Parts: sequence; C-alpha cells; structure tokens
Amino acid sequence: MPVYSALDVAEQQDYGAEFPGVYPYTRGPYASMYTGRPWTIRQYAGFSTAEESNAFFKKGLAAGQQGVSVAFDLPTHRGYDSDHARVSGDVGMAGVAVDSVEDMKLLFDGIPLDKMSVSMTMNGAVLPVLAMFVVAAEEQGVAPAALQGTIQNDILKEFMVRNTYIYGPHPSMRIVGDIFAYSAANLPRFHPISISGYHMQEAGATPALELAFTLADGLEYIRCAEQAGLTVDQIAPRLSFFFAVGMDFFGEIAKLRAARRLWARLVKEKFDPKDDKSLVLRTHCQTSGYSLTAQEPYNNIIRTTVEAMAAVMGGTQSLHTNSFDEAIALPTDFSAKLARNTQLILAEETGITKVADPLGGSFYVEALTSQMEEAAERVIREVEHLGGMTEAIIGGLPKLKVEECAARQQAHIDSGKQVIVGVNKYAQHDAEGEGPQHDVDARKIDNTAVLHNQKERLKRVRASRDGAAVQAALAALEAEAHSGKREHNLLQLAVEAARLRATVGEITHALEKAWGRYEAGGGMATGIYNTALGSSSQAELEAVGRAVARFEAEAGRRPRILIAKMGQDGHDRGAKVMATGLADLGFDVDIGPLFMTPEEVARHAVDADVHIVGVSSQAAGHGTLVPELLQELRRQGMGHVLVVCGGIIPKQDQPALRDAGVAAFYGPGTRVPAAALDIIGMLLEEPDLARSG
Amino acid sequence: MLQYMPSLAQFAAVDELAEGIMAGCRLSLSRGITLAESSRLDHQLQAAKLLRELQKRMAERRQEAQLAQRGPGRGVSGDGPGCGRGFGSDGAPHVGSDGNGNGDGSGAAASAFHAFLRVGVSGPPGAGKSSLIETLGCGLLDAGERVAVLAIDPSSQTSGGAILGDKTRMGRLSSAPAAFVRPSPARGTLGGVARATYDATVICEAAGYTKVLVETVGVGQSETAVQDLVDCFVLVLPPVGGDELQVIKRGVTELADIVVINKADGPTKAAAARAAAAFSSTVHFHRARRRAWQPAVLTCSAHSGQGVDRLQATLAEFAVAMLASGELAVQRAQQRQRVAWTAAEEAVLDAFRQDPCVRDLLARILPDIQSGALVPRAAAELLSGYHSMYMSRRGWTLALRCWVRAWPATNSSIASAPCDAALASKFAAAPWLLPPNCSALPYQGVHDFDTLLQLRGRPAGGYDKAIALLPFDTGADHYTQMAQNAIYSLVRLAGVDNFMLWTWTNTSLADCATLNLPCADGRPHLLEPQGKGRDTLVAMWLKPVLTLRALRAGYMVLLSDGDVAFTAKPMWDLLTQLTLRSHADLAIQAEQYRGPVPDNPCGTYVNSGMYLALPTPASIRAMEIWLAQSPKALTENLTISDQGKLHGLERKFPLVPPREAVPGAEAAERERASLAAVGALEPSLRHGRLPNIQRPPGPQSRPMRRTSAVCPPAVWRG
Repeated sequence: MPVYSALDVAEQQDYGAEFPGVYPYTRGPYASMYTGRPWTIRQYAGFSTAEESNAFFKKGLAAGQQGVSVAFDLPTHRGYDSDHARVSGDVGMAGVAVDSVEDMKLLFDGIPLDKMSVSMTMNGAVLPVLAMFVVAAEEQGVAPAALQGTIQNDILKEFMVRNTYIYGPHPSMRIVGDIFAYSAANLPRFHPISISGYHMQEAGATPALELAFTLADGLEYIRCAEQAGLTVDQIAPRLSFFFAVGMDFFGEIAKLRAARRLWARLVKEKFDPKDDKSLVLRTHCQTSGYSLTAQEPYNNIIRTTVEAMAAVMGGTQSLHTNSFDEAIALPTDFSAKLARNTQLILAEETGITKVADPLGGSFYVEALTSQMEEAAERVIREVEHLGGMTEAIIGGLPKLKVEECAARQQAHIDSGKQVIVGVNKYAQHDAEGEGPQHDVDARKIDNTAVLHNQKERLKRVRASRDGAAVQAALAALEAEAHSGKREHNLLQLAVEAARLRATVGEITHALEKAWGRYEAGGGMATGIYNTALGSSSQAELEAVGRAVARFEAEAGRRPRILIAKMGQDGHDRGAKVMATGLADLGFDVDIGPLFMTPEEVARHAVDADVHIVGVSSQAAGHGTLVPELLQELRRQGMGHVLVVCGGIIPKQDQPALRDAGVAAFYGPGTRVPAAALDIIGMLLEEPDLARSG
Repeated sequence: MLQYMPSLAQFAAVDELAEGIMAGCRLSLSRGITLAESSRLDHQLQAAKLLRELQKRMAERRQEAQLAQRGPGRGVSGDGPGCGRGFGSDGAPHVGSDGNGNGDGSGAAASAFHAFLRVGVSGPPGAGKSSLIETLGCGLLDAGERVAVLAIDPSSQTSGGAILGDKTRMGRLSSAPAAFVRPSPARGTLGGVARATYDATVICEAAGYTKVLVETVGVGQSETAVQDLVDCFVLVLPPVGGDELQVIKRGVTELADIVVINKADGPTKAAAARAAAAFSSTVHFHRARRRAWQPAVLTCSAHSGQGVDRLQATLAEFAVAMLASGELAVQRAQQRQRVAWTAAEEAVLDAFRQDPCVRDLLARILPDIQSGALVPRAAAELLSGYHSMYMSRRGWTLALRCWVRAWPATNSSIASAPCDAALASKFAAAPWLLPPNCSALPYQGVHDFDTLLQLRGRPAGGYDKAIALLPFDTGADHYTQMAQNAIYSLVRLAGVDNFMLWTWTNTSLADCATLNLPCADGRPHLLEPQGKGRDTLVAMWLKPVLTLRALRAGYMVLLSDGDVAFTAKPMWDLLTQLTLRSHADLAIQAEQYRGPVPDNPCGTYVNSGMYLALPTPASIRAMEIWLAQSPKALTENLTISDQGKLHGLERKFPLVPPREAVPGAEAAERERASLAAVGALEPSLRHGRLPNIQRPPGPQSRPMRRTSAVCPPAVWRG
C-alpha cells in the first residue's frame, strides 16, 4: 500500500490518546524523553588484555562516554581459563581475557566503580564474572550496594542464536534466578539482565520475530525470578532490553514502539504488578552488524547513521553505533571515534532531541506499530502455549524459525530481491572482478603475547593462593549444583570462591561436574533457501544442478563439504546459511559441533571423507586456527581436501592464508550459488565453470 | 580433477586399502566406505573386491586367533586394537572366550559383549536418537569397546543434497580415538542405502570396531531395511501418550528388540514412565519374533545418562541369549541372503528407472494412462516389456566396459539420448515393415550384396556410409516373429532404417522377395568346406566375410542377429560416440560377463551376433584375424562355430586401457598403431560360388504373417 490515511488507524482505540511516560508507553518510557537529557552513548568495546582495555576505557571516558561496556573474549564466555588447551587461538581475540579477580582489578584500575556505570556482555560464565566484578569492587573499596550498570545474563537467546552457553537450559535458568535473587538483596543499583533480541536479528530474525522472542524471553525471566523467591515488582523494574536496529527504517521505529506497548500489556495481564514501573520497557539499541558489508566499507558509515536515527526516533535509552570496518575486522581507534561521533552529531546538531516521539501520529508509523504488535503477539502466544521459552527452546522451534528467516533472507539477497548497494546492485568491478579497493587499516591483535601474558598471571595467581580453601569453595559449588535443592545462592558461593582467587575455569568446571556441558542439536531447516530464491534465479539454479550432476557422474557421489566452526566462536549464522544453502543446491553438507579444535575438524574430514572443508570464522581466530587446520589435514592424510574460508577474514590476512593453502575466501555478501559453482569448478579443475555457469 | 577424488588408479590398489583397514587406519576405513557408497560402476566393482579381500583376511585372522587360543593355558586376546576377539564369519559374533581361554559358549555377559554386535537405532525425529547414541557409545568406550556409528540422514527430494549434522549431537564420540562416526546421505532409494550400509558395517568390523551402531531417522519403511543390517533393533521413542502412542505401537514396535523411552528426565519423567508401562503391556501381546529373546522396554535419559547403563547391560544380555541359542547365526545367514537379493532388485529397478526409453515411453503414454484410455495393467505391461528389452542393451554396456573399460557408467550422452519422436510418426505413416508386395521399392529383385549395400547404406553417426546387417532364415519356424521384432525395434526404436538382410537359401530369398525385404544372396560368399551337415554353421561364417566386405567398401557396420530387440536411440550416433570417445574401433557385446580377471580382463564371452565395427584399418585387421580361423574351424568336423573362435579374439587384441591412462587423441593414435601392428596372418578366403545348397528337410516355409499381437504394441497403431 503506497499511501496511509486515517482509515488505516481508525480501529486503534488509543490512537491520538497516547502520551510518552503514560501506559501503555508506546511513545516512550518517560514523559520528557530526550528533551532533558539525550540517550546514553554506550559503545561496546574490549580488547585482548585487561591493561589495554583499561586504557581504552579511560580514553573513551575522557572523550565524553558516560559508561563503559566490556567485551570478553570467547574462552571467558565459555568458562575456560586462558591456559586451557582448547582455546589457545581465541584468547584475547574478540574481547578481553579474564581468568581471575586479578584480571578484573586491572580492567577497572582507576575507574571509579561507584560512579561509573559498567555494562558487561556476559551470558555463559555469568557466575564467575559477576562474582569477580563484585570482589574487584570490594577490593577497590566500593561496596556492592554502590555498584551500577548491567550484565547481559540472557542465556535463553544463547541457546537460540549466539551459542555461548555452558550448561543446559534448566541449570542455566537456575543460575539466572540466583543472580536475580542475589542482586535484589545486594546490588540495588545494578541491572541483573539485559534481555537481548539483538543477536536474533543478527542471526537472521525479522524485526517482528526478534520482538516476539525477546518479549517471550522477558516473560520467562519474570517467572524465573518468581521461582527464586522475588515478586514481579522486585524484578520487572530492573529488567532492561537490548534490540538491534537494522536498515528497515520505519519497521525498526515501529518495533521499538510496539515493544513498549506490548510489554506493558503482557506484564499487566500475566503478572498484575502493583508498581507502574514494572510495566515500562527500557532498552539499549545497537545498529546492525549484519547490514555492514565488506565491499565498499565506507558505505557502512551511512548505513549506521540511518540505523542510529531509527533507534533514536524509536525512543531508545542508550545506543551503540557500529564502526564501519566491523565487517572486515575489529574497529580501529579512528573508526571507533567516527562511530561515536555519529551519535554526538545526531544528539547535538540535528534537533531530533527537541521533541518526544516525533513520528507519533504518523498514519504509517502508527499502523506499522500495530501490525508489528499483532505479529509478535501471535508468536508469543504460541510460545506461551508450549510452556514458555525454556521449553520452546528445548523443543528447538525458536532456533529453527530464526534459521529459516536467515536462509530466506540470504536467498532474497542472492536473487537481488533485497538490495544491498555495492554488493548485489551498483557493485563496481574492475577487470579482476574485485570491487574497488579501500585500504582500511584493520586492527591486528598479537594473540601469542596475550596468551603468554595470561598464562603467566594464572601461574602467579595459582601459586599465591590458599589451595585448600579454594578447593573447599569449589566443592561447595559442586555440592549445591548436585543437590538440586536450592539451599544456597550460587552467586554467593561464586563470590566466595572468586575472593579466594578461584579462576573462571575452575568455578565453571565445578558446576560442570554436576551438570555437564551442553551440546546443542544440529537440526536444520532445508528447502527454505531454494524456495525463497525464486524463479528469477532459475537459470542459475539449473547451472549449479548441472555442475553437481557432472561432479556426481565423475566422482560417484555428490560434492561433500564439511562446514566447520573452530575455536570458541559461536556465531554460526554464516555457517548455517551456507550449509542449508549448499544442501538446497545439491551438496552433501556435514556440519560439525561448535567449538572444535583444528585436529578435531581434520578428523571429522577424514571420517566423512569430504571433498571440501569450509571454515567459517567471525571472531578473528583464523590467523592461528586455519593454518593449524591445514597442517592437521595434511598430517591425517587429507592434504588433497579443498579448504575455503567464509566469514570475516581481513584482506590483509588473506595472502598468508592463501600461502598456507586456503583456496578461496567467501566474505560477507557472497552469493551461495556463485560460491557453489566456484567450488565445483575448483574440484573439477575447471575454473571457468563459475563464469560460464 | 584427479587430485580431489580417488582415481581409478588409486582404487586399483584395493589390497593396500584392505591392508590399511585391517590395520585400523582411519583414512583407509573412511575411503573404503566411500567406495562402497559410490555410484560409479568401477567403484562398485572395486568395492566388491575390497569386501572379498576383507572377508578373506578376517577369516585368516580368526584362524590365527583360534590357533593361539588352543595354545597351552593361554588366554589370547588378539594382536591389535579390538582384534582377535569374537570374530565370526564377516564379523559374526560368537561368545567371547577372551581372557580365560576356554571358549565353551557359556561366557559371562561381559565377555560376550566384547563380541561384534550390530545395533540398529531408530525412532521418530526428535526422539533423541543421536544423544542416546552419544551417551551409549561413550559407555561402551568406557567398557573397552571400539564403537562405530553409521548415521543415515535423509536426502532432499528436490535438490538431492543432505544435511549431515549427526556429529553436532555426538561431540564426545566424534572426537574419541576409539570411535568412528560416519554420517551418510540416504540418496533416495532404500535398497541402495541398505547395501552400502551393510558393506560399511563389514568394513567397520574389519577395522576392529566391535560395536557398530546404525542410526536411521523416522518410523516406517526404513526400519525394515535396517532390520536386515543389524543383530539388534533398538527403537527410541519420545515420552508420548494417547493417540500418538497408538500410532507408533502398531507397526514398528513389533520389530523392536528393545524399546527405549527417552527423555525420562525433568518434566517428562512421569510421561516416560507411563509410556514405558503402556509399551510393556503391548509388547507381550505381540507374537514372539524370536525364540531366545523377549522384547525389553526401558526408560532412560540420554541427557543425564540415567538408564543408559541399563540399556548397555540389556544389549549384552541380548547378545548372550541370541548367541547361546544359535539364533543369531541363523539371522545373519538370512540377512546375507536378503541383502544380496535387495541389492540385485535395486540394480534392476535402477536400470529400469533410468532407462531413457522407458521414461520417454512413459511420457508418451501418460496422457492415455491418466485419461483411462490405457488401463494401468496394459501400461505396466508396456513399460515392463521395455524393461526386458533394456536388458539386452545392458549387454552392450557390459561389452563396452569390457572393450573400453574406462567408459563411465553414467555417461550423459547415453543417458540422455532422446527417444526420437520423429521415428514414431515415421512408422505410423509407413506401414511398410513387412509390407505387401510393392514394385516401387528400389531394392525389389536386387539380391547382390554389393549392389544392395549401395542401395541401402546411407550416412549415419558422422560416417559417410553405414549399414546394419541382419542374417535371415525362414527355415526356423519361430523366426517369423523374431525377425519382425528385430526389424521393427531396429527401425521403430533404434532409428535405423538403413538395414539389409542376408541369407543363404533359395527359400529364404524367395520369402524375402515376396515380402519386399531388402535381402542379399549370401551364397556367392560362402566359405569352404561346407555341405558336410551343418549348413547353418557354415552360414554363420558368412558374418565376418560380409562385414569385412562392407568395411573394405568404407561402411560402418552394425551386425545384429535376428534374435535381438533394440531400445537405444539414436543408435548410430550413440554407438559411434561410444566407440570414438573411448578410442575403440570395434565394440562387441559381452555375454555372461564375469568381470575382469587378471589374465582376461575382458570377462569370458563375447557374442559374434552383435557388434559395431568402424571402417578403420584396425577393425579390418580384427575381422581378418577372425576369418583366418575359418579353414581350421570348418575342417574340424564343423563343430566350432564363429562364436567359439571369436571367443579367442580378445586375447589377440590389446584392450583399450582405462581412460585415465589414455588422455586425448594422441594416445588414441598410439592405440590404433599398436592394434595395426598385431599379427601378420593373411586370411585365406574363398569366394567361390556354391550353387547347390539344398532346401533343408522338413516342412515348407510358410509365408510370413504380420503378428500384430506381438509387435507393434496396439497402443501405437491407432
């Protein structure tokens, strides 16, 4: 429908009668909104060592940031110490490595924790990390009651999309409940959870699906708190949300408005709180990382600006803007500054802040808000019918739905139905078929130095502590997990262990002994990609079909590819989309468990006798892991296997990997059929297959 | 190309592969399974050889182990990982006698459990099969077993691709050194999977894996297939109740040796217990499938591990009971028989389904089937009739594999050779096949071979001149119908209308003249000696004579006996492509093909009644050598037919080697040169005129009738 009018909003009872700060809060949680104070600029950051991150925080604070946000490295997320054999490639790569209280103290050295709001992105190893934060503050002389900020602690979405869980859904929810209870009693100014839809959209969910699952998660967390002995009014005001803002400008604005209205209605209906604050949804937003492209990366500055505007028009409470080079590597100082300035310009130069909910009353935006609300509510009712989000996740439905959306979106991009400038439309190619080169100066991390540093510090910590006391504290944790009776608060026990200098890995392992490490199933939707690609790409599909048939005639079986994730990187959207796309194009696709070592991947390649290994990397671990894999493949007699890489591999890293034996790179924006033809062309040693296809 | 896939040359080293598998080399094991799964014909032959080889070696190892056990007071447990324990015929388990040295068959459960056991694990999607296998497998590893998991994943109906994700749910097992996890795509047909999986099971056992777990998805058809692969069938079910239970209960549970209700944990624990109780009561109502084993119903939680030890113990009890009673040995024997039969069925069915002519026929008659004009039974008869005709074409495939061994089995130019619709209308418009006397036909009254050759030959298959030669003899009663079939199918189905017949009796010549068939008088070309009784035999020696004559005149020759039906189209293009692209000059149909053997890679018989010869020096030389046998053959009491002599021909000619070794035209030239260099035998032919051939005794020949009941099928006539 090209034009909206009063007719489109006629059925909305509240139309025109809604105000910011008033139930159902569609137009904003507060009456004044940005007129008094703009949103909080909160940039997520964290690098390699505690010292380096600390310096980065201080720089940001000096430049006008009001809070700090910590990104941990993947081993910390997954509850491994830096000296664990499985994690060497990931230590310090995608965030800061924290092994013990000593690291935490260095991280916040010189940062007044009673004055500064700290946001920690941590879900898997929440217990040791939050415990160490409390102890570090304590030893800095700051009482728990003075601590402010938030910890992500949203384990449900990890099972759906991000995969940095440690234990299964039920024990994980027990931990969440204990953290709620502990912080209600001891950390009154601290938000114990940030319920995140962000990663769902990054993994492929549409804004409506993201909204639905996030609010359904929220309802589940309130129930979780109730089980831990809290009332809705004790927990609900302390919940905060975290949404992604992508390129669907009005859709995203509508999503944020619908989120507030729907949340207020649902909480009222299901929990009947006494305190109005329990009905208010407050949220942090981040611009979409998925919308960033490796091709023509400066376009990303514009994308981020548009997304930031949508977040602000939608009424977010705080915002992170991505750096334009994040599709290529971790941000540099320059790109980080540019990202921060995007927000400063919006806040201080545009006048957007002068009015609350400037789009309120727009026929289109109001109609869209209602549509979004209806769509999300339908899904939420379905989830509630299944017994809530925990049970739905165990059943696997949410994960499949997100993956379906991802496959469909990839097909729409591959067929050109969804336009991405510089990628599938207006792409500029030179003679070699490469896009225009931008010498983006990507940040490099010397992983070996970080690893060495962390190992040394761990050695010192273990040597200087009271071993027996640590063992006793760990035994108490294990016993509590075993008993299943909820006699002690797990966070309380973790704080005691952390104070004695037990490490992240040790505390995690103590519980692991009782609960085991959870492994997600590999169910995957097929047929979606094919269907969504549509008839416009029929010729191309047929070309791939012919190539596969030719290969099958020559080899006696279909091309067989192992899609592997190595290290502690759990972002598997790229891997899954590639897997289901290639299967829909006629490949036999092996997918391995997450978090594999190069040796295990090579072994998997041997056992399945694959023709190709596709490595998907989103987290900068490729520098060490991929050459190790190639070496392992050769050692295990699979030197003939074709190795290709997908995900985020900076251009400057590619020559070295090519020398090591990587045959091709398929970065963000790769079309699946093109990659399929390219791969078969290489297998048949007919490079022209891809071009003539 | 070759770099990325195991080439024929690599697979030729089947011995080496077998060696590696027996030594427990992972890579060899994995390659072996790939070989068993391959759809390439040469791979399948290699796989068959590999399995024979493994069988032999396992038997040897078993003997060694038995000898060692008889040694004084020693309990020998083998010479390698997982070796020497409980090997039976192709890994058939017997009660373990390891450890205490007396294999009296009354071993405790624990020792029996070290024997080989094949366990099928099946159940509906979401029942938690993979997780259960993970937990069970780890338990078996702890008990000192070596565990192989063969997981069959469904292939997409539309794209043919598959997602093989089992390892994501078997993290520990896939990285344990004593375990091997291999997911495989189902690839459409059940029978094909069954054969490949059976082979894979044997290969795993040869590699020393004592427990092979076969996982399949779904409840329904696949279970019966799995039944033939395993000793023990474990059905895994989610804790369901009510109607769902009823649906599952009926069919599949009757096949189960052990029913496991999974997910007996958390909120579903009570439901699991209820389901188990319900199942326990029903399995006892089933007629007992086995004498030695009553189906067991267990609950367990793959997630927490609870109850999995019980499952492990139950498997051990099963093995003991089945072994002690001897029932397992009987079951394995039956399984071998069924697997062989299924594989054969599958091969035939595959050939039928893929036959382009069958597909084409189906496409043409489909509207009539759908409208009801053609009743299903009649349609089925038509299609299956085509199928039997296909079998004669299969002979060609084999011949070409013999003479041109590296010809890929699934060649697209064969598979996609279209059945010519134009020919169909040609036949309908020209009912001159066995036509009434018509003086307008140019060949009327012409019986001279050379003249008729010129009249009937025409360009085909890229050659200037081509002719199909068919012997004809009205002497035999049933020849009327056979000749009709041959000519009809040659023209109608194989698109060959440049054919001519030849004969050697007055009667036959007269019949041909009546019927206006183009038939040459072969008598001027008959060889000596003759007339000592078996004239037919003498006449058969006309084949190489006339072929040679046509070849020397520059014709490509297709020679076909009258008892052949054709389906391949377009015949000329197809056959010339086959020979040219494989660098051969002459392709001869094989009969009773027995596969390559060391001293005779061609197999055993070739058939002198069916061959294609290109007009090249090499095939002329081959015909000459063949003919050179004739004087001896005809003097030795006329007992040796041309067939028998042709049989020795392949030994004189180098066979075309595998295509890998002959890349490009250059090599083809070398090949032709080497053919030309073979033997300097001069043929001693006699072209004397032999006027007094007598009509054979017996009834006078009848005029040929059009036997329309046989040919052409009624559906095309209208």
